Amino acid sequence: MQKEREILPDYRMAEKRKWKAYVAIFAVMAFVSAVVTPVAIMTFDNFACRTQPHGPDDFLAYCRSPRYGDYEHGALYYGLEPKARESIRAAQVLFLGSSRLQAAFAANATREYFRARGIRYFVMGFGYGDVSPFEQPVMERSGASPKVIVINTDPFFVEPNRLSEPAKEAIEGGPKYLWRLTQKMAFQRVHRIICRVVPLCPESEPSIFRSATDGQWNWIGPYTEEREVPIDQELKERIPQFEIERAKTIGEIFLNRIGLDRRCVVFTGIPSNGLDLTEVAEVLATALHTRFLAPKIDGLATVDGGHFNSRSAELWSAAFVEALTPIVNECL
Amino acid sequence: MLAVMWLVIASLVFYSFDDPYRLLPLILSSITFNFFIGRMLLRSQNRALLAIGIGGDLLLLGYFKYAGFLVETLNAVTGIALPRPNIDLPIGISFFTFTQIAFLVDAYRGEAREYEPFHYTLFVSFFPHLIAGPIYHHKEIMPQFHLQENFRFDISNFGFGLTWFALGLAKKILFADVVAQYATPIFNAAAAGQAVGLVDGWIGACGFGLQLYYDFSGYTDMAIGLALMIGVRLPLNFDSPYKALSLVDFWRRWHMTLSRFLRDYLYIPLGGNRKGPRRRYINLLITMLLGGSWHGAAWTFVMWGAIHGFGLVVNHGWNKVSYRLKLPDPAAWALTLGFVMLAWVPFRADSLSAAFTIWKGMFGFHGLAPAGSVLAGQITIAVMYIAVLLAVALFAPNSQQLLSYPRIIIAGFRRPIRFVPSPPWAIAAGIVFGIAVSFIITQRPTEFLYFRF
Repeated sequence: MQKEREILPDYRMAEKRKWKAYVAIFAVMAFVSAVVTPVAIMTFDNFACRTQPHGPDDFLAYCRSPRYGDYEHGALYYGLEPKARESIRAAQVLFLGSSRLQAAFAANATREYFRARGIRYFVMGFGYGDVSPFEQPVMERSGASPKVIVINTDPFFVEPNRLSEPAKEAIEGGPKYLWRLTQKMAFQRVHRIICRVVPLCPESEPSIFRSATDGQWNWIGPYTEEREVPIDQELKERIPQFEIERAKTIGEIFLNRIGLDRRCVVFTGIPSNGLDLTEVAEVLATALHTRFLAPKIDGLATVDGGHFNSRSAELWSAAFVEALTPIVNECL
Repeated sequence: MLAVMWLVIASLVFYSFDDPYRLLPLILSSITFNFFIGRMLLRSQNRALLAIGIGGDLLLLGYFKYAGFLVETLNAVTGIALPRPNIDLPIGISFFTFTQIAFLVDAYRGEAREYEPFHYTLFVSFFPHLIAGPIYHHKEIMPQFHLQENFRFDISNFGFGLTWFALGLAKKILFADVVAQYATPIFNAAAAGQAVGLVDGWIGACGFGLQLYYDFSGYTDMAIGLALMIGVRLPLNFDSPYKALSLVDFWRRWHMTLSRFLRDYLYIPLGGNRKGPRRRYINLLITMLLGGSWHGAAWTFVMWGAIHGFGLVVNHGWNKVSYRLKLPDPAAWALTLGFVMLAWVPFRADSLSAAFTIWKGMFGFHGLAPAGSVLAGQITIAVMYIAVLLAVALFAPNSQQLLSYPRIIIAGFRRPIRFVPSPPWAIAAGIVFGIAVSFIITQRPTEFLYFRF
């Protein structure tokens, strides 16, 4: 012990003032580095995520890098992108559905149509197949009060427990998840600046950008290349009748909760391989007394059999919004 | 007294938080038993009473720590099939048992004082040391509990303790836990019966040696820091052990408080070096075998203790016969480090066969990398990380040198390094602390290795 006593000097002799300053600086630096370090690590881990092509108000909704993955579920659920939350709240026309909806309305035609009419809209579909069980709470948390709702019923109305992992994580919202989500929010901003200043970013990981103003995806290019996989009319399958019946029940509850005039609720079925979604939309619209719209266009194609390619999205969405005009005029 | 009571309650809550109905009665009964035996010993110095006291302590430790091991060994030796008792090892039992055995022995020798019950309870249960040491001595701690000024908040104690704590946390999170990612898969592979190559074997052994050092010395720094924050000074436990030039030197630098305990309460009572060289070597072997067994109830720990006991015998023997043939320092250092790293293998391995698998790999019996490395594409980064951590252990000042020694000259630096409560030190320590905390939040730290002992 004698040796240790010699080793440990008596710091009580030092001035208290110096020690107070020391502890204060220590605390501030500890806080700053505890906040900065995870963002730095995340930047290092996800450096290959894309920053281009990036719209003026886009955020990085998804990056295939395993340390980033999905961001849009949590970001829209918790309002981490304030402009996106504000856009959902203020949207007069709200589009709901899965990633098929996002692909179909990832088109300039949609943007130009609403811009020309001064109508605020938001395309609020989600990847991972998340539909009503996740989109309803997002709408409620964002304070959405649309005048027109467009729903891609594929079939959209499903049991409350049918949630993807990103949606479950967002709803459970543990502290670790929220902390990681906050890091993702900070990371993409830091990453963008770094890649702008130092043009050495690999820009190699498939990524999806999402506009905070209108919710449209920017994904052909940064996520997948344009492909022409024709929609095969012969391969149509039918959704089982019991699922349609269940969708009617859940749809009724959903629409009652929203409380919007059903004449201002539009069901559609975006064409894709495998399922006859147009027919499903029509059946549900009849049962739930909503409007039904499904423009018929030949020669549509997808990138993967399920999601429109860029050309088809432009063609189909242009036809759709044109057909939507009377309803928009009636409801707004 | 109020402060002491408060610390006793806080320490007991801390200790028993995980399983209060089991841990609280256990530690309180151990404290009560030793307190009263110690009090009687101070009055009578009765040898039988000492035997009862130590026997009771060892019985408790034996039941919780060694019952399963003994049954397993008995089954293996005799071929019978007694059911293995399923007893969870209470956290910190080895540490508080040893602390109290030392107290009983000193009470018997008349080298202890009669303490107040609350002071004694705090001595045993003081939360910074309770789980994994350092194993302190009543003579160095009790006087501090009696000083009123120690229990008044003092910003200098707090700031100094915070710095120690930050340094320890950084060692644990940034060094030990990271290097564990490379060492653990290799030991797991060996446990699963997979052959381990030469490169993997050395990465595993050296990686674990560094993990254990930074883990345990990091824990000790945190314990010292926490105690300093409330004005109590704990003994140091590590003094750059991997700089040792001999095995004897290594044991003066590694887990110093355990070495001190084994020396004062086992080796010297056995006769130490007073009864001739042969008896001395036997005493050394017994001490190290028991020291190894103290770490855990498994033949791997017995093997580790035996290797070190044998190494110490050779080291002392060499010192005796070859005082004219002194090895050059680099050779002595390399020999010592190599021996220590080889000896860590059974300490970490799940079984003796897994230890032999790693050893065979380290000596090239399985080739450079049989059927591919366990670490796949991470070998380069693992080697680099181990090299960096080893360089830090060898060339950087250790915690007490960095924070306390008045003047330390580091090779290559002209200016002496000395801790002062200045803004640059606050910035550096704060950043290190923040980084470690952010790692805790974003990643999953492994548990402290010495908690299970």
